[in-house]
Amino acid sequence: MSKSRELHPVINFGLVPLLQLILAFLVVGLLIVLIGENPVQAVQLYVTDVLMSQVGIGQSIFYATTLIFTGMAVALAFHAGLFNIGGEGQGMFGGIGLTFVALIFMGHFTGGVGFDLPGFIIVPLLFIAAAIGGAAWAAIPGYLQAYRGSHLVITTIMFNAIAFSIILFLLTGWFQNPDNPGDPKSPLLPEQWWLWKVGDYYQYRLVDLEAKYKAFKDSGLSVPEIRDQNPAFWEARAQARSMKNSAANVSFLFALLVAVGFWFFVWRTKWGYAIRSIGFNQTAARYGGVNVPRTMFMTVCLSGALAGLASTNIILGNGSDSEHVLRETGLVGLGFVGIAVALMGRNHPFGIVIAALLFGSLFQWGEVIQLKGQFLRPKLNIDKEIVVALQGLVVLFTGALSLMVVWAVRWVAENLLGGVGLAKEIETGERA
Amino acid sequence: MEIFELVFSLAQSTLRFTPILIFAAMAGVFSERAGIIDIGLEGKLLIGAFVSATVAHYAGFGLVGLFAAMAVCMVFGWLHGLATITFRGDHVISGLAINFLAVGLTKTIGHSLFAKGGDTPNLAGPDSTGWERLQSLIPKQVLIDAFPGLESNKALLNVLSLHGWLIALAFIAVVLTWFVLNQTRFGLRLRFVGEEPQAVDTAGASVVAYRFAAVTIAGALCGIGGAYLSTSNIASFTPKMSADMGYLALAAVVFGKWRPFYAMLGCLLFGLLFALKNRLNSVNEGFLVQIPGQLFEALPYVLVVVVLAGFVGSARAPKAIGRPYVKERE
Amino acid sequence: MREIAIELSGISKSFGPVQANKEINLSVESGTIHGIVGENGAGKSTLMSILYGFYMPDEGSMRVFGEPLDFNSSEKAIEAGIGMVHQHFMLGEPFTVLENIILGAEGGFMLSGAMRHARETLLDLSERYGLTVNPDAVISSLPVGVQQRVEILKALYRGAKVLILDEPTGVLTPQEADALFDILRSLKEQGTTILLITHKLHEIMDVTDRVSVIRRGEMVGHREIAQTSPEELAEMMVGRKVLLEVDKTPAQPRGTALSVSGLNLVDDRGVQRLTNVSFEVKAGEIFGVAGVSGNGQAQLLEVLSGMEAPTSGTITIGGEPLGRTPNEVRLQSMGHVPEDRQHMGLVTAFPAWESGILGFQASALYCDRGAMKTGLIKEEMGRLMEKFDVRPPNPLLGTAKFSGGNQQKIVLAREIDKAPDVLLVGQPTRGVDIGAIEFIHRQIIAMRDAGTAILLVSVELEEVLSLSDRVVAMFDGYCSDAHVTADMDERSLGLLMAGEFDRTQTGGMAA
Repeated sequence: MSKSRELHPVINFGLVPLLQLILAFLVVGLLIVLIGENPVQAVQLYVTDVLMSQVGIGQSIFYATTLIFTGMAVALAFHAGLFNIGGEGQGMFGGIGLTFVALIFMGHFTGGVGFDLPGFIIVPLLFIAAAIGGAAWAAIPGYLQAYRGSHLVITTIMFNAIAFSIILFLLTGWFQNPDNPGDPKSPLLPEQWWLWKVGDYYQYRLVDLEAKYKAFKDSGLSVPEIRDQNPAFWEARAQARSMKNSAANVSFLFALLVAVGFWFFVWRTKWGYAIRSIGFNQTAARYGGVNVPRTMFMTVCLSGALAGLASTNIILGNGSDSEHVLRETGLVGLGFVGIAVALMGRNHPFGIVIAALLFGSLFQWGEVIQLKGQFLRPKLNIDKEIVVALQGLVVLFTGALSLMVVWAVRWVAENLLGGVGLAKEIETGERA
Repeated sequence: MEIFELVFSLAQSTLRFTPILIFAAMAGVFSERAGIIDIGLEGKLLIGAFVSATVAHYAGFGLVGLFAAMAVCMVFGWLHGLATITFRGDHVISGLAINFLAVGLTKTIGHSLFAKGGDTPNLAGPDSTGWERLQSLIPKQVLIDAFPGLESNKALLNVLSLHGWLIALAFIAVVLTWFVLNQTRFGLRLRFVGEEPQAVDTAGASVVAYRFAAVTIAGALCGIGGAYLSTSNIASFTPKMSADMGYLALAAVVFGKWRPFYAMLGCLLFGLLFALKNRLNSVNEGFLVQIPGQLFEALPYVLVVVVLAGFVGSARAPKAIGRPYVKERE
Repeated sequence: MREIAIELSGISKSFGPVQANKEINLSVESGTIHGIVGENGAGKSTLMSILYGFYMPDEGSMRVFGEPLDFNSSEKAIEAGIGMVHQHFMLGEPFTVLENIILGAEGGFMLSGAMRHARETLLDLSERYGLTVNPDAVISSLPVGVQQRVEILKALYRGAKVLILDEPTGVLTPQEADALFDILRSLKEQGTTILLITHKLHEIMDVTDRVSVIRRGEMVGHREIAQTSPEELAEMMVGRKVLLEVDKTPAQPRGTALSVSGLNLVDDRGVQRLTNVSFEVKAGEIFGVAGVSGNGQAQLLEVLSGMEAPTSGTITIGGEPLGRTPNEVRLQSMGHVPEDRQHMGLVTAFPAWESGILGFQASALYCDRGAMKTGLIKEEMGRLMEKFDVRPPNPLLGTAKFSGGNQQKIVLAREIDKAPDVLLVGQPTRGVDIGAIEFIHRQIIAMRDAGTAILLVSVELEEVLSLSDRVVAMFDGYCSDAHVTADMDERSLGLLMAGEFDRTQTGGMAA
């Protein structure tokens, strides 16, 4: 072994990812210029309508919650040296599991005869059902990888496609809302099971505010008069009206909790030790008494369970009152974005949360561009799928081309800065 | 003869699906035999489809679109090469990045160019000349205009216009792939690069150059596959139209144990499944149990998993696959 | 004075901060066999790779038959008539002999012509030098000795006038090695110049005309074989007098600790790896298993450590049947220092404290209801690293950052510290520097004297002879009878290693 000078951890874990991200953004900026739009305008929209807007922040957190789960799903498998691309399908099956249990309690399969249990009993059950649903869908590819050597990447991709067919089949059949046969979605889940969200607070306030508004109107004031005479009231009402659907909900806190648990599980338990050991070196793991196929299988199942939990946020924590339902489009691609999140977050829960927040906000940015771009003067005509391109670039620069930036930074540190930023030489004893 | 008709129409529709898979699978064979895992087949197909349809629309010639698609896909092949060969990145991650990029770029640029939700204009519209599409090398209408007598002789017309030439090209590509890999110096070295790269290096040839050659060829083949998809099979690009075909092609490569002819058989099998799915989906045949359409959609994917789990246990991938080549000391 | 085939002057090469070669001068007369000898890691292979155009040296120049030769081009080296047989064969396993031979010398774009030409040439070469090989055989089906012949043919096919062989006998039995030396001599007679790189002194003495000694990247001297002795060369190699004898008192063996009888193993591919292996290891003795690597020793260790289930046979440890998994076996007080620490004994990507508990991660020592006692583990590792002189004694440092000898000490510390009743030790000193070798040998003997039964697998003849109290040899999955080491010498053990023992009986029970 040799003595080596490595990049200082601050540079390696701070500057390098930042540079990689900047590169990805620069390329997207270039793309925006190429299609004849104004990148400055796009960035402005990001700042004003995502970062500086309460609604934008709330939605970003909502998407980020899903991404923390799908990101951790990818990361857990990565630690075992496996690539689980099935987050999308496993997330769908989480939703299927959750909805299935919910529908049983709702009496959907039994002609309306259900069990009326309080939310604090049912909601945890629904969470468990979501995890089991995701795990079950991951179990087959996991088994095939662990015991038959079928490549997980290919099987999970196939399973994503299969999951999509199955969810459509269920939503047009067994799970379908009988009141609305044209629309493939499940019946609305009862309100007492919905997760507490930021919007609830504003909805609660809005009751009073709207009553007051009505009182103002009844007293014969015109709208401009109300606004001018009671600016504080007017602003509060406007805020409450825009925030009443804000989807940031308690499952974000749950996600953070799971992230802490993820850290503990991976780095502080014998199971995590086993998972990481098979990720690095299967022979050594086998020598160390780790049952490699079983650990692989369990890891993929757990990874699927994490992806399945993403559906709790989407179904139980949805911002829109009418969307507490299972839909085939519920995940809106966030299962795949989990890959980018895991890569950017370096498979560490702290990094994953940060990356999820970033990608959540970018996702919201895409929505805003699509919704508001047409009404800007001048128009900003960008398709929201540009976020997918950005995601690809982030995966490219933080994942596949990672060494490009690392080497560039090293070169600069060694040749231009005289070794600034390189960690001290490590004494490794005598040479082999 | 209902059965005969069914078989015939199935065969026809299999032949329509298979070339996409074959072009992508041959790309996969070149790439993987040289040691480069190529999940990005999917993305390159999509890019190829978009570029060819777009360029064909502007240029008015499908062939121009085809060459443009090949060129652009080669560039994406180089990107994959840059990431995996030069910078030793993970092959699967790089391929996925290309797939994401493909979805994002085609939709964004398509939306910006045509404002049709990402679709490209119909190449077979009323004011088309016939040269925009690649179904026939020479548009039938052009032949009919020149020789009016041909209109009644469908068979001759098909032959003279080289109808379905891209389908034939797909099968020729299989033979060529086999030939290049097994009968030429280039192919021998390429196979060694994926198996024992040091042997090539010590024999005085560049591993890097051969791997880049492989990703270049893979790019070109994906470009043709994409062009077939959007300018021959149908007459425009629609977002995500590659519909996992690239992944299926890769599965066919694994199924075919990295050999061109076996991989082609895999493609035919998967193509048949697609044809079957469409057929059974459109007409619920009486001799089969009524199965809901959505489950038929899943049929090919299910069978891919079954086939891979059942058959490929014993297959041996090229030894150096997925590994960067670094000259190691001592 | 003969013509000078190869002349190197002032060659220096460093990899990052490591100076692999420093101002090396060397001249090799044509038509001779020239040896280059040095310890593992002394920089021999680097030098040869430079010669072959595989690496670019930082400084220095080279002449081949008087003509200056550019570095960093294998192609030019081949053109100049240099051929190399690498330590690790560079043969494509699923390809045929012919395909391997024409690689890089195909002549034209099409293969068929080259194939025909190669077939004829091969026939010619095999007649001239006694190098017989079936040109259509697939490499993976050929024994190692024949694969090496293919490597030599590959070089000759390219018209090599200078043949470099890098540690050619590492994978051969003594008898196969003798056959190789015969081939080398007949090549020499027909005018080929041969450079033989090895760390085995007796090979140098046997077959070479001149020898150059390399130590820590520097050339320390050149000698005519006729005018030197193994002792002088050994001293030149390590720079001081070497103690080839290990200090130890006679063993005090007690009852049987590990007993193996009728062991058979057929692997996944249906290859018989172990055939009817039987022996007993007593508490308080070192039981040596000699043999060329690849004759079933690795499989034997895997079976004994519970990693692989035997196809048939019984193994008992302390009288009870051996457990079925590595964890069960560990609980029966069996320690295992594996042959390959980098790929089996350690997870090099882990920090040292995590590698230091590999195999015990789930034991109550370090783990409480699934949660690892991190603080305690780190503390204990720090203590162990001091005790076993691991440098630096920093449990937070990545395992990969330690040198080979220090990595091996981490493995030994982990296994020895649990005071096992039986200790399996595979290649304890492979790739380890001299100082660490002595330390490791002392630790093993101390374990023996404390009453542990030790099974020592080593391909180094000298190591087996000097450490073990009784010894067997393995050949092709068979195991010889056990012999008292004091009655054995290199020659008699060499014969056993070549399979010169009765394979029909259940072996291992004598002595």
